[in-house]
Amino acid sequence: MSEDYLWDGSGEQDVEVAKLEEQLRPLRWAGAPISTNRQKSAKRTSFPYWAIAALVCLCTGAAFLYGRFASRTSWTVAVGGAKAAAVRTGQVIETSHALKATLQAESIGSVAMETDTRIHITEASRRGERFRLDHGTIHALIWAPPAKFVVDTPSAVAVDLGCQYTLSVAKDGSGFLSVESGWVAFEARGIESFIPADAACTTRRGQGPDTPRFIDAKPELIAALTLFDVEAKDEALDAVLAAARPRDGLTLWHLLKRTKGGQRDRVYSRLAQLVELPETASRAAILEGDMPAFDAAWNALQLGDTNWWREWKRRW
Amino acid sequence: MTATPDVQIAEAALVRAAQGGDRAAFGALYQRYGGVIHGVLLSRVPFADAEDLTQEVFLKAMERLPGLREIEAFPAWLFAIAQRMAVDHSRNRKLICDPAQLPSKSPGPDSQAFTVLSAIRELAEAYRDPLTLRLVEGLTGPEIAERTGLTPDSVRVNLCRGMKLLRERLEDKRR
Repeated sequence: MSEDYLWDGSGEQDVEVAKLEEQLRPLRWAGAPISTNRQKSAKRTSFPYWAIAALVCLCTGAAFLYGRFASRTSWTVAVGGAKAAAVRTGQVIETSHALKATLQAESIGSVAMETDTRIHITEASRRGERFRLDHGTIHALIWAPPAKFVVDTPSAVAVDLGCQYTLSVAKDGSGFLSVESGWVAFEARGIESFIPADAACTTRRGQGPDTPRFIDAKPELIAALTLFDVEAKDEALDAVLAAARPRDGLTLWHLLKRTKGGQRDRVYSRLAQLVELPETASRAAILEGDMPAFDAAWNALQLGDTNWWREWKRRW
Repeated sequence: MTATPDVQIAEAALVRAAQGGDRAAFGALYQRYGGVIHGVLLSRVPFADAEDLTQEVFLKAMERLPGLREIEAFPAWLFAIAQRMAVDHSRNRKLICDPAQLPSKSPGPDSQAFTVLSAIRELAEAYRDPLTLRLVEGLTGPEIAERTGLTPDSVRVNLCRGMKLLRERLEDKRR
């Protein structure tokens, strides 16, 4: 049956689609006019001005320490519910053990900084926005176009693909990223990881991003994966494969790209048991490293089509 | 952006006018995007809350619109506000997906609609939104692409794959 009816209602009617439309129509938006008689959200708590002054002094002082800062960016930084201050390129913003802060730019998104966190605003231009997270934790909600917002960490680069995520960096430069919505790509030294919602990835200084996995993966898979990422030994890989569920196809797909020879063959066997792979993702093609075959295997994971990130990948 | 140039220009003019305080222009944006935002929320929050939350998204947008510098980012910006509100809302209450939890004599949509919606919600995010926008809100594939900023190819593929998965889920539920 033609897909045209599903696409734009043209062509021969798809009976099942039409039936679903009929069943679901009562749930459709009613289009009621906006009522402006709504209570404001919880009253903002006042914040001691001395703390704001302290944060601003910290920003300004840090800026002097790191050299003159340049142009004003579209970002502002605020502490609690207090009025936001402008942020400039080159500026360093660091929160203390008692203070959190939020950076906002209407065209890009918001970045909430936890305590003990340091961010360096390295670029803010039409080309894109780039921060460096030296240490600490940020929660980012980004609505800028894909790949416009990038965060450098000591161990990898996180490229936003339209999402909400939490990124932490320890003082030794290792990092942890978990995605709440959308996608993030992590890249370093030619190693890529694509992390969808409800998945996470660690990074290690000098090594780049580890293999992503879903947050609800079995503990034995997570433990074995951590070992494999460090040592690449067969025993650890076998433990990962044994603990994998169909949903862990995400992890296995990344392992296909990070293994060779016999290890890749075993990963492929397990993936084929858990996920219905198309003919275009044949064992031979995957073992040869054929990119279209990898794309086909990815599409079989039902996490979304590769077309969506091919669009931005050219800008990588 | 995948909208035709004429649509882009007209929409940019609306956004600018709304930024300047033109309520009629904002109202036009509300009518244009209300269904999209409602559909996006519907795949994330209880049905009973989606209508109210849609209004709150637009009230928030009205408040923050003067700060939006890249006019062409309006759809993605609005979408992100909706996503954020959905997350905050879900944190504050348990998501009701099970039609059996609905009052037995609730007026409005029957339980079959909620069974289908529940099946859509079980799918990956990439499929949930296009399916909700197509099957619930009645947008066509080209309209979904235009109002979400996704490419038509991506929307088409995700609609087709999503529909295949939805058919399988509904079949499983019938057994």
